Amino acid sequence: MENNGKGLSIAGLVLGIVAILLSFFSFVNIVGLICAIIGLICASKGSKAAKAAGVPTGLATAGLVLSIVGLVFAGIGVLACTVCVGCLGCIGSSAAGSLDEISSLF
Amino acid sequence: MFPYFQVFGKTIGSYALCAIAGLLICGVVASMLARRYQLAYEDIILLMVVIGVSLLIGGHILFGITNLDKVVVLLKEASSHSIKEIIAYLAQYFGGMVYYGGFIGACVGLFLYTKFNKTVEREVAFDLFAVSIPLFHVFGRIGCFLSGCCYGMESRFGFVVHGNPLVPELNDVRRLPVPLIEAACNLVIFFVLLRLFLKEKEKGKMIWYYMLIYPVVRFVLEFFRGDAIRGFLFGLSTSQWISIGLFAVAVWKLFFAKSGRKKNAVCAGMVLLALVIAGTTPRTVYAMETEVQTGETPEDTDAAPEKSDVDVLVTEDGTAADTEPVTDAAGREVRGFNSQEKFIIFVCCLFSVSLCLVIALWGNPNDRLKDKYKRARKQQQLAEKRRKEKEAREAKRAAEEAKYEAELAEYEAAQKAYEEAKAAKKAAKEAKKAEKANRKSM
Repeated sequence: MENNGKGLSIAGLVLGIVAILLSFFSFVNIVGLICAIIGLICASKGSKAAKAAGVPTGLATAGLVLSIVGLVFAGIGVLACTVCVGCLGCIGSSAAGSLDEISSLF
Repeated sequence: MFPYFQVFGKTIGSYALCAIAGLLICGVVASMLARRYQLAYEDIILLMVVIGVSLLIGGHILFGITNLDKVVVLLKEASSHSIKEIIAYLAQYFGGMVYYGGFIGACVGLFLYTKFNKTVEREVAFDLFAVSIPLFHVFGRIGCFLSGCCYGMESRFGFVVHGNPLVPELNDVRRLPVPLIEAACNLVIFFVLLRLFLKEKEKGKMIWYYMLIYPVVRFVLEFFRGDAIRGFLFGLSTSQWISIGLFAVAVWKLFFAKSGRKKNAVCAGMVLLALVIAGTTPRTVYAMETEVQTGETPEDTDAAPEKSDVDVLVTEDGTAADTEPVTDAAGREVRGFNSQEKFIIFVCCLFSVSLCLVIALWGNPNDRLKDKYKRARKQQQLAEKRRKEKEAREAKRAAEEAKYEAELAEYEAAQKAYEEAKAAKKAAKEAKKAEKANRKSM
């Protein structure tokens, strides 16, 4: 069976859409980030395979764009500075290390 | 300063925004640079994904390692906690990131990626990574400044932040803008590495150049961080020890891996020694003395401005200008740099800038030496080639002359023979004519 990257492109597209949707919800956006990364890999591989097979790469490009957008949205939600993590930790547990101990290491 | 802001009712962290902006801009720059190696943009995206993921993992792992004692205690007392509590503690212990952990993680990730995927050369991948990472770091540090983390020590020069909810001790104190200084240094490093990247002969060495320059900057700037006591071992912080390690590896790879010259080894040893001596700056001594005298950390004493341990130390230095207490707008005492610290700052900055400039303008000294020998050998070969060509030309000309002379002689001989034949023919004709006249007269 000829590998023209269609399956990978569709997977990338779907994962990109899922990533965008999940990135709007707190605490779930980490899943969105993972979906975006996997979608990016799938779409890249799909685009490469489509190019090699000489078929149009529109589906793969769409997957790539959606995955990048999902990555940006989910990344903004997930990535936080050490200080924010430290503060959350301090709020959540007074028994744990202080903010100074955490932020000093960054 | 601005740790977060609201957009359509959603809270967006400025650090995350800066990091994502840095990631996207780095991707664009890396794609532009990769055109030189005819790499497809899909390969660049995969490379960026590998770098990003391994950077995240490495940063969190090193952060967790620095909290290893707490993790061990947690695991020992695991039975007394619920699973939810354990997860919350682990999220806290592994939640932060250490830049050097991310850097080392990304290097390992790239190494593994290029080992199993041969579409991108390892040298090319590491070159692109080394050029892009300072640019990303610029945005990261701007994000730190906006968030209020990684702040500098109290100083007469700097910014005063008001109303940061995440870091209360940052507020109303004039502090040195260490994240901004580091961002500026990273920008300089980026341009230096970009210039080196565009030089053909420096292929595959970008990562070593980065490891040569950045650790020096980080090592120096660590002394001016004010967020906690940064001493970890012999007065140096974790990042400073990693800086020394990375610097040593870079020096070894760039200068001794092939040449093995003792002179270079001695020079590098002296540089390292200078860095370690710089590690015992008055800042460290100040921290230790304060701890001994009061049993508190310097940050704790900063919080109580009416009792000045700083004054005791500064008075011991005997500098009249430094003994005058300076207060900021909030009435807190501000500790400036004493003359020794200023000298160390000056020397370290001079060293960093010189190193950057030397490398940017002339490249690796060993390479320059090699180039000199190569040029001399090339010139010698060229002269030899020219001499041989001249000889060949002369020989050819001589052969052509000889050939011409031979042809001329042959032509002359042929002409002579022709003339002789013609004369003989004429003589024969005349003889025949005379014979005919004789016969007619008879």
